[in-house]
Amino acid sequence: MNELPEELVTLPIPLVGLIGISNLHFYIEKNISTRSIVDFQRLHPVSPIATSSQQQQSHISLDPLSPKLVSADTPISSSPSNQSRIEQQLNNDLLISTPNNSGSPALQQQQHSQSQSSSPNSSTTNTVSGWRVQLLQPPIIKVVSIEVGGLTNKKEKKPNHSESFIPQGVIKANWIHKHTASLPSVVSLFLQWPEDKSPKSHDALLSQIDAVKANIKQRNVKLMIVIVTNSSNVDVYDERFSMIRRRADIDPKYIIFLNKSEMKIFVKKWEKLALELTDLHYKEECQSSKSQIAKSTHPFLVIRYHFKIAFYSEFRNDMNSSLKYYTFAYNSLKDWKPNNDPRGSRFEELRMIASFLNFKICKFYLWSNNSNEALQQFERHIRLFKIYHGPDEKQFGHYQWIAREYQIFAELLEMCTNTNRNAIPGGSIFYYQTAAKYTEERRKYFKWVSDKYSNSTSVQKFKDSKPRFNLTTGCIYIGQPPPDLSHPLDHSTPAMVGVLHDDEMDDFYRSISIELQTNYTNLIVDLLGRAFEQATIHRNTRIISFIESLIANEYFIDHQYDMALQYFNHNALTYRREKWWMLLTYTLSMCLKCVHNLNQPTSYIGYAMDLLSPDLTNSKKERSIIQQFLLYVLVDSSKLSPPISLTAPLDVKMDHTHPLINCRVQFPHSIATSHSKTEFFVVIESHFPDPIRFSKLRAVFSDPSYNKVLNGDQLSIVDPISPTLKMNQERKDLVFLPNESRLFSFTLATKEKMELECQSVILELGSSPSVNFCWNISEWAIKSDQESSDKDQHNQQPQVKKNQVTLQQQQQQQQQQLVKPDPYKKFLERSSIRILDHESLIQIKCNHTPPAIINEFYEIELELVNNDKEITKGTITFELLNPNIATNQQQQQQQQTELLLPTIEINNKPLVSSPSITQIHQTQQQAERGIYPKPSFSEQLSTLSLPHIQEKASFKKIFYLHSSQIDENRLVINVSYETKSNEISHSSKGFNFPVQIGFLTQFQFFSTNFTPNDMYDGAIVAKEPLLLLCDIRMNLPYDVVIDKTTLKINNVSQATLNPLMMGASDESGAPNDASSVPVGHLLSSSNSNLSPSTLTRDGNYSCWFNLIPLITGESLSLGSLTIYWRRKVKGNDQDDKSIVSQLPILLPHMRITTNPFITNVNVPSYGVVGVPLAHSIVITNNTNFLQEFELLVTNPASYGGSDAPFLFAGDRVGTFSIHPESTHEIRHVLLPLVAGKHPLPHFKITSKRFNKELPKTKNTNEFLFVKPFLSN
Amino acid sequence: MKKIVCVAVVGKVNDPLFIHDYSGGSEENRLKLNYIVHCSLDIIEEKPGAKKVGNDMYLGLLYPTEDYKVYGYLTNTKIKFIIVVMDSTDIKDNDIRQFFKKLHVLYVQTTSSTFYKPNSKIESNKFLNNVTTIVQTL
Repeated sequence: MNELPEELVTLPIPLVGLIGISNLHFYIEKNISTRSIVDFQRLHPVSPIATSSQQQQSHISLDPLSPKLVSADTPISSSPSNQSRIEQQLNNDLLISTPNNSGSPALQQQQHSQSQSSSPNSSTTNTVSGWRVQLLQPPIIKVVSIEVGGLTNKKEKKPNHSESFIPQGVIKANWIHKHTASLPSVVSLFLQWPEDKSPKSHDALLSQIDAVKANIKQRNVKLMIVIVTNSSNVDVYDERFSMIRRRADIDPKYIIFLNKSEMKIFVKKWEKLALELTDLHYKEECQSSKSQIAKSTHPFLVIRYHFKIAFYSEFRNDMNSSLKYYTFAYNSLKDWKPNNDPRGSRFEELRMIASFLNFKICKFYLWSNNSNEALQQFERHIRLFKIYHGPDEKQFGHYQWIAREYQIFAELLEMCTNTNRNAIPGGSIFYYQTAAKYTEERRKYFKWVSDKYSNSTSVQKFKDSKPRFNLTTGCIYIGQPPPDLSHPLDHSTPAMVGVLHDDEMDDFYRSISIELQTNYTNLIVDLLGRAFEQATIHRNTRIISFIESLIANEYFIDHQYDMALQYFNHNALTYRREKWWMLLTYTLSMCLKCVHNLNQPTSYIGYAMDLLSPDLTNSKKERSIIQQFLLYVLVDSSKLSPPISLTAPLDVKMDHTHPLINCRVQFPHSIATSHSKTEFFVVIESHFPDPIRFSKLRAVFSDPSYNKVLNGDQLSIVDPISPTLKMNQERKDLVFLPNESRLFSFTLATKEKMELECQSVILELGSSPSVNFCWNISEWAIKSDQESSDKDQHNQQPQVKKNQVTLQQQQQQQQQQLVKPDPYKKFLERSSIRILDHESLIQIKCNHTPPAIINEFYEIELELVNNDKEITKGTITFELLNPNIATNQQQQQQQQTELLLPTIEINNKPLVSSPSITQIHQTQQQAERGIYPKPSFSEQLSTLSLPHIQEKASFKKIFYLHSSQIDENRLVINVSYETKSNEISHSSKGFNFPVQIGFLTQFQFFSTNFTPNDMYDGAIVAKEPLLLLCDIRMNLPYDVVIDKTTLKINNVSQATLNPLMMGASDESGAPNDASSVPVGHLLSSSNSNLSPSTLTRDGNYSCWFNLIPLITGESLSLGSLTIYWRRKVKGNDQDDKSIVSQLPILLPHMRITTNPFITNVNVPSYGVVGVPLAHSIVITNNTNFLQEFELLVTNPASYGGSDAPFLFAGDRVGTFSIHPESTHEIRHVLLPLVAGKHPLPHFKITSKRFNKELPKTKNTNEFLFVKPFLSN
Repeated sequence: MKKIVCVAVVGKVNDPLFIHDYSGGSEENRLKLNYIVHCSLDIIEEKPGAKKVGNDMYLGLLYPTEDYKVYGYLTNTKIKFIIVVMDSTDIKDNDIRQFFKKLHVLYVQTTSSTFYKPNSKIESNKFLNNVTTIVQTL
């Protein structure tokens, strides 16, 4: 749109001329009202010189990855900083240009409007400025100061002018400017009202009116008169006013008075009247033009008058009429075909007029949201003028025009943001892109003109010419070349350039000279950049890619290969992602050309490899050439133009499955033994279009000593390859035929134990420099671990078996022919191998009889069975693992322990539960575990040397495990040995040994007469003998022999969990010695003379102990029972040398109290019939209270009442009291009546306080033997 | 003069499954047609949301270029059929619609073959011949 005159682009504003009292004009202009309209606004009208420098800066403004125009000509820039820069520039420009409205209209026009086809060679696109659509506040009226008689006279029209007149052009070049800048529709005459009333001064006013009237009469310009008075009191009925009114011959309302003090009010009134008159003027002009149409015969006049009506209607804001008449004008124009126009001048003129009309029509359609109509109009316009009429030399100008038309329409679409996008798919993108395309055409058509004339002196003399940016200078009609001596259309013998007039030739040469300065790439990239910007806004990614490829092509044509490469490279990503192979092929081939020209051999090789890929759509021939060039880069760059060569070796990191060449590796086995041989396979698959000879194949391993190199034949890579080579035949070279897959086998001699991994395979092409295709195998291939790792998770036992099997299998496999993988099929890729030491074949066993018992020296027999070769030496190490790891197991053991706890019963009543044995031992001493070679603590076992073991022989060794707590011991036995053939092997095995108590013990306390002391429930009585029954129940799966049991009395410190808790009633010694005082005294043991007893499962063993607790306490354990036991050996007991183990079991903690009453019953051991015997009961009150007792003597129930064997003397019933620390005796005399065994009467003494019978008297089943009386 | 210059079937991930140039033009022209078809995918992505009515899979004119008109058809499985027609020819919209329906049927028949790997390039000669036949009937 830059090329269009600004007056044409924007809405015209009615022009009013101001005459007289020029100092008022400024105030009027300043106070004119404004209106709000949305219209185009030129961003920065700048001079061509300035623009050319801007253009130089702008051509590299595209960022390759997010291209965005930052050139000054961007109409709507997305960059804020850019926007502000443009606005600032706009403001600066406005400051310069605005005051010159009336001053130098010609200059303005020269800047804003440009010569159209009058100067086709003018590089109009060099003018870089922009437009935007925005809300404007223009004045409703534009004013211009003119002198009296300043209006030019209109040419006199002859009678019947329209009928006979043949116009020389369609529209005068200056017509639009004239009506918008210099020819007012209304003239406002300002008259200073004279103070004096002399006729002379009045006559001067009248003559002034006459002069003005005469001047405006021809132009039908309306007149309004402003009488400026100094005072507000003006006599309107003054005769002089009437005379002026009559002389002016205008409606009195258009004669107004101005008092300078009321300027604002006056201007409001004045502008209203002026508007009325301007509207009237343009309306009359429309009517006048319409009447002319009716008379006109020549189509030019028809077009002209329609154009004028439309333009006048625009002044009147009558847009419908305007659109209607522009359309009429366009239709009239398209119907007219110029004849006899070999130089194309008339065609150029019509084309330019059509361009103006098309712009107006499209603008109005788009303004009214009628996108379809606009689009149809534009397509019709292009269709109409696409075919060029004129000399070939000027054809490039036609393409310049078409490009400009597309650009203008694109800008219109872009700026009319409310345009329905669906109506015009792609929006302005397509039109910008097409404009760029026609700019290319322009370059193409200019090329041969340029070749012909560029060195011509005629052209050289115009080398400093600048494009002419005017519509009026020297130009009479729009679209026509500037006139020379006579009008160009007057030439009657126009032919080719050679016969043109000198001036016209000069003009042509000037156009060539200017066109030669044109930078087409900048223009094209600028247009494509705009398209790119629009596509980016609408996120049309594929269209963006397309435009990028066009931009890249343009840069390529302009030899800006770096820029081209950036765009192509970016594009390649899109096409590769969406698998558009054809587009990708083209893009990559262009990339290859770019890097070739940029002399980037590394990139060249990369793109060449891409292009050699069979996925792409290039032909085999093209691929062959690329392959050949690739080889030339390595060996003979002179065969390439421009030369390009690789100077240093290049490592190319290859994908696992690169489409051109791929590599797979395999270790056939996941494991191998040290000091043996194993195979390693490499399969290379090539898809080079032609046979190719590589130089070297290298396999790189984690241990460099295993690295392998395979050299090809010593020929150069460009040497011809024998055509007799056949696919899949065994060869030793490194030649690959097209689509051939070859397998290379390497034999590796294994060394020490390790994990050997193939890290990479490198295939070298050429030598010094070479291209090294490198596959980092370790990044993707399967490791040997992954295959067998799951199985390795199991325990060692099956592993040994598995290894045995594997080894056997391997041996079998090795004996057989090794099966190589088929290089054309998929196979398991394995990049690493585990090299093991010689495989251990010994078998580790442990013979034992579980479970072990606490404190037992548990006998275990280790047996090593040698399935290997003869063992010369070796070691066995024992490792006892911490059992606390298995907490769950321990919890289970805890529960189990509780079941096995000894319980205490007194008189078959369970009293208390004893703490677990485990706890007892933990509190008493640190838990102890160990392995011993002998059943003693003298020496621990940790390592053991292996003796010489023959093949198939066994080695046995007994050792002992001792644990002082319930446990689940895990013992790991590691065996390392060396065979006769110096092969070192390792084997390891773990065993579990549970440790249990094995015996269930129960304890019962009785008084000496086998009754419980129940004065205090759950307690035993100190200082009185008591009996302890120990019941031992065996629940082991094997038989044991209990040799004996002993009871060890604890001292105080052992008896109590906390010595401080000892009872206060301890009467013995000093506190320091208290801990060593025994808590009881063992009187006798029932089993000191018992022989050893054999117990089977669930068998019982009982023993009795008589003891006296000596001290009292709340929780005391009287001692510990030690069971001396041994495992029963089957066979003869006499030969039994099994180890006797001691199992100490702590007696439960009991409450021990003193007896409150000490009772002694004194009865003779026998009686004699007829001899009285005394029966006394002595009771001592040990308490601190007075105690009351009741006495009741009853005969045994079996006697009845009469047959008592005794006569009885004493109280039968009674009560008595005993003071504290006092003794009371109850005496009875019994006289036996008959001999025999007789039950004694029951002397029942009950304590009132305790409400219990005294234990000593409780037994109702006491007997007395009565002898018969012997008389001698 | 041939009316249809290019027929393309584009997969649901916008990869070309079938593209055939009927213009008989140069390699450059084939490339240009590829670009046109590829760019039209952008227009298709914009189209359905705004314009799709009911079960009609025909998208109509996607966009005109200088020399060609591009029409599109989008199946429910996101397979796109795109044809490029000479701009100078005057083809009725209904004919284009019928053409697409026939092409859709051919596509379904071809891809129903047990030897066809879904979403892969269509290399069936039968499909090519059948498409050529219906191109000539238009």
